Amino acid sequence: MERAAYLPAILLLVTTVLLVLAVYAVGLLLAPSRRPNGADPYLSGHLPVEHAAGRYHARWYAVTLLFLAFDMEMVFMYPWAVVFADVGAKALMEMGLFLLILTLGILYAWREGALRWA
Amino acid sequence: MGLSDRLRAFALARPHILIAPLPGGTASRLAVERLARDRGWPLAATPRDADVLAVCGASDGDLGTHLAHLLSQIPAPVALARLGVEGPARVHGGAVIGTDAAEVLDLAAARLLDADLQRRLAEAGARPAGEQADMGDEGMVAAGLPTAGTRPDRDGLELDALTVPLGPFLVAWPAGLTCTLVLQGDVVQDVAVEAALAPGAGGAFWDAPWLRSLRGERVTVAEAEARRAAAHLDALARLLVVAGFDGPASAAGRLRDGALDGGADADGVAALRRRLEGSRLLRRQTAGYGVIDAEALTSAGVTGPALRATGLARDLRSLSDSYPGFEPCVLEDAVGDVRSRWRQWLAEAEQALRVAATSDAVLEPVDGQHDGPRGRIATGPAAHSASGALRSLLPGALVGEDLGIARLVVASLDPDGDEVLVVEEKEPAGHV
Repeated sequence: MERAAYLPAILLLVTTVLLVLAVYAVGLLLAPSRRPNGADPYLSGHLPVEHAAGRYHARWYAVTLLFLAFDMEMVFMYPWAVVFADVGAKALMEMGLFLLILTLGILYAWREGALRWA
Repeated sequence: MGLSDRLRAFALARPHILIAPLPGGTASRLAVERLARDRGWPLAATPRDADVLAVCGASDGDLGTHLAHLLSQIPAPVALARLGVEGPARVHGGAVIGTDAAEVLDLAAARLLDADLQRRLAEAGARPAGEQADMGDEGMVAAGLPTAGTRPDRDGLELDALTVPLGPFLVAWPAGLTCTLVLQGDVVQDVAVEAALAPGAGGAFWDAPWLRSLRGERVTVAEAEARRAAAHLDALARLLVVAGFDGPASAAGRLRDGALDGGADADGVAALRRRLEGSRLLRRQTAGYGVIDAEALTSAGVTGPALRATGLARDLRSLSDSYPGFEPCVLEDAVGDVRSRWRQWLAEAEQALRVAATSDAVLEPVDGQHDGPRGRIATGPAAHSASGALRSLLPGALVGEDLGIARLVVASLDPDGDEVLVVEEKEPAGHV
């Protein structure tokens, strides 16, 4: 590879870095204070009483089943992806049909509420 | 440097104002909102977006600490303005105080541009940058605070319960009201309601014409009805901001200021009404939520538009001689949800402005009572705070709703922080 081929990329990189540094420089010059303001949340003037790190249920069963179903779908899609460009439109339509059937399954699960709190 | 001064002037040409309304400060809040709208200065929703903190009204103790914390959350450059203090605009104790909103805010904006002043203020007020997480006691305490505890939720699972104060200083929130919610996810499980009292004399702004009439002064129906329309439009503007309709909120604010100035623009209100009733998005947001039926309202002692929004045609004005031929405004499909209440406000504002334009009677009380913008107004032994009754509805109405609906419900009930002031002076055995 010629070194000259890299010139536009290097130019772009240098310009980007300079622009970012310029923005930081303007901020440092104009800011009234160098020290940050603090990172407490806006609770309408109150101080936080507890940590808001929310725990939630992972719903392992639902997640596992969904994963299995769509993993089997991916198993079919991997070999398809390799030969699909050679076979052409027919392969596309066949995979489309397969995906449509699986999408109907997802819609059913959605309407049944299986995805709530998932 | 000339360049940095010019950049600063460009950046701070239209400072963002964060309004901190306090009970008793309605007049100054209205002045600030009007000024901000006329000059095109945006109103900030959170302290991080603000440049000027405009405190409207007098504060004491607890509210004072909240205000101080709010001020510390505003990034430099920052200017504090206290409105409602007698005298010309001047600097006192690090704040700009005065009565005239334009003078005070101009002085505050000038302080924003003073680079040396802002640097000194920032150095003086700087706090250590956050507290590091306490690595020793993992899982239980971080940054000195415990993690949220759990409690059973409505599905029977143990979920985190987070305490969220919808505090005194929140955008489009009634002044002086604090609702401390316990949230699981976004569902409200518990509510604790507190109302702050304003120290000293302020007097209810929205109820002023009726209170003056009860004291024996001569008040015209036109003035009272214009004030009523302005009160409804003010409440509507707050609800529209909560719902995300900033354009119509600004239009409602303009109509409110017009009504307060004395011009009765009933057609403008009618146009706003058509625009909002035709909005499908607003209908989807508000219809069917926050339903409070007539029984709950009457047992809480609620009167006024909140009661009429359930379909009950009870209005003292229909019994009064000062309102000949008055029909209480009751809309079809009024079911007592959020949508019925804001539609009731709009309909009553339009009706009030039409009455104000044509009436030349003097306001007379019915059995020593009036029907004010939020409910019955009376003094003496029959005194009963209409806003206190609305506040008592809040716990029942908010529990079980999600956070967005809860905010809309509070905005649709809109208890007035100033009203507590008046009743508390009469009934020393206080209640909120």
